[in-house]
Amino acid sequence: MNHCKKWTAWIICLAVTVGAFAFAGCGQSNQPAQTKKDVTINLLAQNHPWTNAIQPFIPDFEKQTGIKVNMQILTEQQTRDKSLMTLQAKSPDIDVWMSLKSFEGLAYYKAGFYEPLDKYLNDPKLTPKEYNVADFMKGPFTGEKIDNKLVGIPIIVEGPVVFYRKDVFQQYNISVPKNMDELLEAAKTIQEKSNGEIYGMATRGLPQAIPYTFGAFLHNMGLEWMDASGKPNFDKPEAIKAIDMYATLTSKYGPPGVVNNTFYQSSALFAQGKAAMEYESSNELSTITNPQNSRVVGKIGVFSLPPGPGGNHPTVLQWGVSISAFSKNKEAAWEFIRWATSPEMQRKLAEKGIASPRSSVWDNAEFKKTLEEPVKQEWAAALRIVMDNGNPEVGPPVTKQAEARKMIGTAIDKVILGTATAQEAASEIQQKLLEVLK
Amino acid sequence: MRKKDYILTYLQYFILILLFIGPVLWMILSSLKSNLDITAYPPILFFQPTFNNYTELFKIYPFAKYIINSFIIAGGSTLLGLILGVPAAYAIARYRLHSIAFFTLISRMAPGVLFLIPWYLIASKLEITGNNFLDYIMLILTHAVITLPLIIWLMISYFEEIPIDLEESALIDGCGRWRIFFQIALPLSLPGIAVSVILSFIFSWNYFLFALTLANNSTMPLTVIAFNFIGEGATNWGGLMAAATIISLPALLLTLFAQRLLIKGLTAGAVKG
Amino acid sequence: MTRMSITGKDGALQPHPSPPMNDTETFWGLLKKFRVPIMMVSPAAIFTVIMILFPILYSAYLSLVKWTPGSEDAPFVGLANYIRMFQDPTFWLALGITLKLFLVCLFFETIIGIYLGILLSREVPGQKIFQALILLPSIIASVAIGMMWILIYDPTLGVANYFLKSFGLKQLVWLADPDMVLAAIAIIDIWEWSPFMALIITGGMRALPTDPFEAAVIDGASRWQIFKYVTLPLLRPVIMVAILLRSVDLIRFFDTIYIMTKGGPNDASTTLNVYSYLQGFSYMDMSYGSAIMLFLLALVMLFSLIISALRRKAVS
Repeated sequence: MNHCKKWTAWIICLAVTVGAFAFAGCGQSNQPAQTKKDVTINLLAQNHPWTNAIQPFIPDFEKQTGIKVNMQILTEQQTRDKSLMTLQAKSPDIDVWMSLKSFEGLAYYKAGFYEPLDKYLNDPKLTPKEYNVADFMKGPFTGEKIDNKLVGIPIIVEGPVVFYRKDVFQQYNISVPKNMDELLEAAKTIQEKSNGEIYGMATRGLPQAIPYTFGAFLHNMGLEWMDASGKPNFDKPEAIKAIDMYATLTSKYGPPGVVNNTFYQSSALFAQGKAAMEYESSNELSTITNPQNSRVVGKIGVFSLPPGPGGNHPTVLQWGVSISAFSKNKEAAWEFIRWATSPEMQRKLAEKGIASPRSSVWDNAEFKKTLEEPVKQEWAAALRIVMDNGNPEVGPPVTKQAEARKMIGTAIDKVILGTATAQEAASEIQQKLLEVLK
Repeated sequence: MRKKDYILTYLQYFILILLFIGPVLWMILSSLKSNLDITAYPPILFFQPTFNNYTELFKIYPFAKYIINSFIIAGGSTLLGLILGVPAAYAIARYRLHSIAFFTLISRMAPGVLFLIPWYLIASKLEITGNNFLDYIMLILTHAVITLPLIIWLMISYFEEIPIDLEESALIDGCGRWRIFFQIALPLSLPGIAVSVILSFIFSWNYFLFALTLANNSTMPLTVIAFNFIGEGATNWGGLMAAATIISLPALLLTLFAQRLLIKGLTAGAVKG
Repeated sequence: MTRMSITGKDGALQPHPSPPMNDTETFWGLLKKFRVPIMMVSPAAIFTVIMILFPILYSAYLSLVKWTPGSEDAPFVGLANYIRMFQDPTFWLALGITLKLFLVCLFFETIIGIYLGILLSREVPGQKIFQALILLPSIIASVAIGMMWILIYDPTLGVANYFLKSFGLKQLVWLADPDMVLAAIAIIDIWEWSPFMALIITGGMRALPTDPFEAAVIDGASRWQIFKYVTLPLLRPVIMVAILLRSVDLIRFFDTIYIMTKGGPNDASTTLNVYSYLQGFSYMDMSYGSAIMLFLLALVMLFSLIISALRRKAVS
């Protein structure tokens, strides 16, 4: 049947043509236009205050340099998944990314994912004097070094601080705690006198997230995560005391269900007036002082976690930006980093509430003007203590960071839930940390 | 039925609607509240509704672009699923090749995470991931893994319902297989294709795991962006609820306007599976 | 097949009207004879092979080597990852959680599905709209569902506890209690998928013959007796189909947990799928993660085979 065959032929023709066009399309757009003029760098960033603050300035950078910045914003876990996959495939799809050295630093360094930055920093052609490296605070800057190699530049300093309700403290006649015992006492008083209507303390209970807030409890007992010989410190009585204290604070004087809580639940509780204290990242200030989110604006004070018998060692954490070892636009990437971490840019970001790792920013008059509100002053003062005395080890310094943190959190949660004693949890952590170290 | 039965039935309807639709309504209500009212306790039922959450979505994020991306990916994978799946379903139905149909089901059995690393590896080796156009194609291909088995199984049941006599007489008239397929079987199965399009579009639209890792900034669909509303110092419940409502929109519209197609499709696909 | 096939005795089209040629015996003859169906099926088949078979083989390779981030050539370690798996207490915990969640969800979804299915099969005005409305949970994106329920389940600020309190019941901490989290997640899944089960069962009920019911009514059977001795046995094949479909998804339980708890608290909601994700991505051990994933795939296939076999038995 001629008629039928013709019909079939037409269909085949059509299919072939469509296919050919599709392939032609692929071929054309596959040739990246790599002229010097329009370089595009891909920036992988997290949903984080720094990212939100710098975003509006990026067009300025693009205009100044002609480099286009393609920004991808994801949550913390997704950023990590994505960076791991991209870098593992040695793909050049990431040029610059926000990396948390205290978390994935060691693993990524061993994998060779970071481009060492010393040579860019030391080359006067790539880095003019005005950049003023010496201005970076020692803590955050050394935090970006692994094996004495610079693998990132710090962009923000943060650490857990205690936000508290001034009115509630006044009502129950409590003063700002001067040591850990007083902190516990304050939480107890509030919880008991308010009949549990207001929780004493909202802080982290989610296993992966616990070390961030628990760390200072351990350090303030006078212990590091590990001793000088690299052996975990959880066989010491002070560690048991630290666990006991954290578990008491969260389980007895904290909200129900604390073992699932991390920053957003704690902040929701605090902002709704359900918790008198919140021990959380300094970044949460913007959430709880935003009248759109919070019923307690104007009643908030801030202090740094008080010292314990072992001194005052709050946890400090810096975020940094790094260049991928597989980037094809490393110099453009460096240009971006240099711009983003320049004294001028850091000051502009600081005015938007980003705690700068550059010390000059903190003395800058214009920046100080933004701190006029009492709560911001207290916040800055607390952060200053964190930065000056801070311990940068958010978790034990091991390559298998995620595993170690989850395991510590899980053991502490058992105490919070009442299924284990602090003693049992400590020896579980000790034993499992030794396994992770193997 | 007796009157008592009617009353009992409707009573049960009422309670069940509350249970099954309640949480969805709560989400929609929340999206119209201010952040402060969303987490208020005791929960607030009456409040000053505001569209701020929605307007802000479009102001802060390139939200229209995410919606378009979702459309491209869901639409593209549906189209690809149809092109590959409909002829295959016809052949399977007419020549009894059910083992092949079972083979396509393996994608439904494998945990999605299993695909991520190998796919990404291929994509980056082929230098696909940096290029938006190719990245769309990549996402469409991966989402077709979800739509294809769905379409095949739906269409098998539709083709099997078409009386074979028509095709046999055409065959005797000397028409080729392809012409029979295009001129007889396909027009008769149009309702089935409509159902396939709707369902595979929804399922592709809803799926988040592949795009989570394979999409880049310009190709990211809605479902991925929904995770971004919870962040340190940046948690936005209102935005989250508004985004969740927008993500649910195709499902909501379908429920309101295409009930019969939806029910027919889900039943056919399921019973024949 | 559960419905009567309307395509005739075997429903198959003869490949060609009547070519009495001998070349149908040879390979090329067969190829020529089945040219059209092969052309129709092969694009889909090739697509499936490329997109699915390759990842499975690659994961199999990964599971046999020791993978570390950044490594160029991973050393071959044989079955070490599988041995580790069988010695890993968390793996067994995850397997137990997977099976528990599977059984609990499946049980309630089947019971509620049958109840809803029978309710839906009553022809009353508004039945269609009702059916579509309660299907909403099944077709809404799991991302939206997860986010919505996080808010509902919040122990202090959520609606769930508000209701418990209003009814004078003990308030719960839902997702944060290791003893409660599975139940909380199961509730979401049951809410999400029971209507879907109901839909399949209603479809099956419509196709049932009416004679047995009429006979039972004449015999004076009570409603419960009719349900137990007539409806349920007749529905069994359809129920098996519904169970098969749900099982495949339930054993791979991932979305809701990934969105809501990431496996916590205290690993109490770590299903196998979540555990393999944690190992592969969070702990950066792709080899071990792949081993768990392949085990899971084998488990799903095993379950589908068993349930298909049971279904075939139920039909015959």
